[in-house]
Amino acid sequence: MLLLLLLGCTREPQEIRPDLSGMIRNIPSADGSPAGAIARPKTDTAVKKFCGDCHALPRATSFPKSRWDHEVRQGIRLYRESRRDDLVIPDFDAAVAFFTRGAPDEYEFAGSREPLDGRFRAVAVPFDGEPVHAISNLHLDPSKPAAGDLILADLWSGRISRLDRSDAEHRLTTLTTVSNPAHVERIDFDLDGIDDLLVADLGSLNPQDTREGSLWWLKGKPDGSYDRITLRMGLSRTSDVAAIDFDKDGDLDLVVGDFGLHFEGAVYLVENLGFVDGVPDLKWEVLDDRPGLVEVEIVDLDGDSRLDIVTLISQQYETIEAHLNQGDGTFRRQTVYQLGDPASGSSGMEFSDLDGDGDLDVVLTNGDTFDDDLPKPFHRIHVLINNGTFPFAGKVVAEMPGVYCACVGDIDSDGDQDIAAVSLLTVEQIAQHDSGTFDSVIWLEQSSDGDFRRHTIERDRCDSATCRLFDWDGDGDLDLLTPRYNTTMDGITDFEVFENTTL
Amino acid sequence: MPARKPNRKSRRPSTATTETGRVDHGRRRSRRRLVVLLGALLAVVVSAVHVGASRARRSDFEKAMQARRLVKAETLVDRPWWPFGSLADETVMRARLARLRGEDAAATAFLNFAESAGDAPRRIELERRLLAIQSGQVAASVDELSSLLQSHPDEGPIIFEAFVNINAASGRFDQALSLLTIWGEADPTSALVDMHRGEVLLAVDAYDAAVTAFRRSLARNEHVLRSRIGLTEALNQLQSSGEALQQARLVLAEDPTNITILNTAAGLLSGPDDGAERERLLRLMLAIDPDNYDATLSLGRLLCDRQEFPQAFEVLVKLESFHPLDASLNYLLAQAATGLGRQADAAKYLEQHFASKAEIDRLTKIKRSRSDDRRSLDDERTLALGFMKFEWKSAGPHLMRIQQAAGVDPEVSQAINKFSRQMN
Repeated sequence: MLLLLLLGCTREPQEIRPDLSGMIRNIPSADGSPAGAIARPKTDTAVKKFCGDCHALPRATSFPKSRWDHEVRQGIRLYRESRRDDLVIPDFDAAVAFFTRGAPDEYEFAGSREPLDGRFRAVAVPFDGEPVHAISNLHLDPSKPAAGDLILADLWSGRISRLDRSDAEHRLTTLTTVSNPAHVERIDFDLDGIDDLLVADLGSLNPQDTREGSLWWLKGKPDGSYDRITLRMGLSRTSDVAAIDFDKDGDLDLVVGDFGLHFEGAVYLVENLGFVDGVPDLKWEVLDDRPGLVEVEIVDLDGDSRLDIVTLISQQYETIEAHLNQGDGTFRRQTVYQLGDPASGSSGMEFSDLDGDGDLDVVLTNGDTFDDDLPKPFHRIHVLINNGTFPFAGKVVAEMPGVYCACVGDIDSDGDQDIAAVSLLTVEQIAQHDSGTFDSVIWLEQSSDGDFRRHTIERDRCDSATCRLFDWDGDGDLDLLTPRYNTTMDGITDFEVFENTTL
Repeated sequence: MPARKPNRKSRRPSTATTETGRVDHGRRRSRRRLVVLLGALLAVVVSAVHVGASRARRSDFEKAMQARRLVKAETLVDRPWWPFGSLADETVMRARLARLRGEDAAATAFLNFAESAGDAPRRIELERRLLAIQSGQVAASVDELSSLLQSHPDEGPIIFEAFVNINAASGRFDQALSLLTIWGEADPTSALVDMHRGEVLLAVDAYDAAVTAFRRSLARNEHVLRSRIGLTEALNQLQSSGEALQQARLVLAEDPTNITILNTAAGLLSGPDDGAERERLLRLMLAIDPDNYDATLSLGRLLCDRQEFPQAFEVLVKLESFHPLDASLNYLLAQAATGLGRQADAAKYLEQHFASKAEIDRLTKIKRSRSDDRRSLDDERTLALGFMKFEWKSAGPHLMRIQQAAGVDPEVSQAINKFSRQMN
């Protein structure tokens, strides 16, 4: 009985037993055609129409030949799950054939064979305290580089910790515990003069539909500790939060990203109606009803001195959207950039005036492999130049399988903005390829003509989901902090810093 | 024959699930037949006691009574090709239903009783032969099939159905499909053939083909509920959610308390506008099965989503004694308590939620450290019992592996029972 119960759980449709497939095909259906092969359109047009409706038509080169069977099956499954019935599902074999015609046999990774760059020196900084496992977010306030300004979020253990550097020995102190924090925002939410932390908590490491995503407010107290206050529970997977006073009433409102799953999730604009007994009364409205929000940033993108909301949405959309503040509490949506292929795996964005023309440009990374467990040769770092019109002008500045985060700063102290980036791959993914195939940490040196020259700092480890440029050692140049995200979930008791030797 | 007194117990509407998956609230005709049969059985036993009948005969009666509980009389209405006739006919019918359910001993008991009751020797003989094949005493050979079809030319559907079931039950799906092809050729308008074909195809995960078969069955006879249930299941497996839901609603219109389809439909109702219908189905499930942990949790989650925190708390708190450390339950209780402004309770539940999550992380790490086939029985035991406490649904595969390895001790056995109850 138990066996039956267990086997009865939801499962992926499986292959029909080979010895039965012929027999099943020969069973007549109601209209006399074979039952196993329901008549479905086989033309390229039919395939393109179906496979390019919910999202852009995937490029055939996005997956190796052997993978397309799975991808087409998944696409049809998701369409069926969506409860839409307005499209005609094409013939399965024809759809697979359509994509495999132009697909590579296997991915080919160029890899970089140049010697490692000598500008950075890797330093493992040991700390006392609970080990960390998978750092998802590193927060520091450049205006206050003193001790206590480094906040770490551990996606695995749920601990939000502070790395205290005030003594010679570094100490990691747990501030509070939540489930699976994806992002921490440091802000004085209640405007009491003490910094608080807002925590976007996914609620689960893996995508699931239990709706245990939460939004926490860690209210700072004068003694440096925090009170954890619930702002919202029961979201599907809360991925990011940022603060903005969009209604100009003097308090801070919020933008909250709920990554969701396939058919749920959204970006919310949360109006702060005021505090009652120390707890904010929040009014939630959907700003964008699409799931898949990776990141939200509050910046003045169009240079009108009003703060705009910029969102990076992955899943099948793979787009950066600007919600331009109209100054009257409303926003106008503009697409900043769209990667086009639903398999791109958008992973992060960073804002900086890269070309020195006074406005904000974007560095976009697409290297997420959590969806399909595949590092891809088209995982890249893009620079999106703001020329005052939408969409921004994009160019690829580096290929980097698994690239997860980029940060911007003047690394070589020559007056322009350079880029550093880290990648995140599993041990198994790395082991499937030759040593030296994947760069873990790189920096891109901007030249006077706006091009970027690649320097590899480290190869093959590929275990960072976030990075920051910061003068860690106080010598005047920017060091690179790359806290580790250990995919084996073993505890780590040191903190990875690449010290810049420029100065 | 004693007077046919109404039996108070038999008057109570039955909510039993029948052979076709239908839940019947007691049809008058069937009830009358049941009363007749009970009366007859009672007469026999009284008589037997009075005349000092043999122990064997009394045993036959007890087995028959036991079988009666298993084989619901109401199913008779779903077998239109079986002409109701004498008491013996009906008893043979019960024997047949017992056989189809794999209750061989009960079937034998019914046949023994039918034999003593009267006048259906050919059908009794057929049933005995089919029972012998089902129990493996006689091979389910083509020769035996031919012989039965020759000796009982009017009972083709019964014979074919028996052979199809026997083959499918023993994993000989190819032979079952071949038999269905022959049966279909002999009876080209049969909705039953396609119903069975659909079920065999469902068993081999040929969902597209199963859908075709069930649809054809329903095109021939839209009242074959088992085909609609099968169609719902096949569409659900294909993740064809919209259509599966449509079919589930049709099943529930005819059979509103079918627990399997209620569960399927409640799972499919996940859209933003589905809340009211989902709540109705979950409450119906809980009315039938008040101990259904999963349905209770789902209802609590739904009420929390709707910010109906008092109702949510009321529903969820009932689960606390059953699974006090379950991470999801504690999260939902914290959510409901927060909504109710009961901050101290919320903090308590949240701390338990995080503590349970930490335990789940620890177990997950053990799980990931070795692949399924390389894990020791001790590890499986740790995982099974640990997950039962903190995330009970994840315990299933580990309990199964322990069971397969015959490593079941009392603690694991208790966990298996608990898991099974919750899944039910």
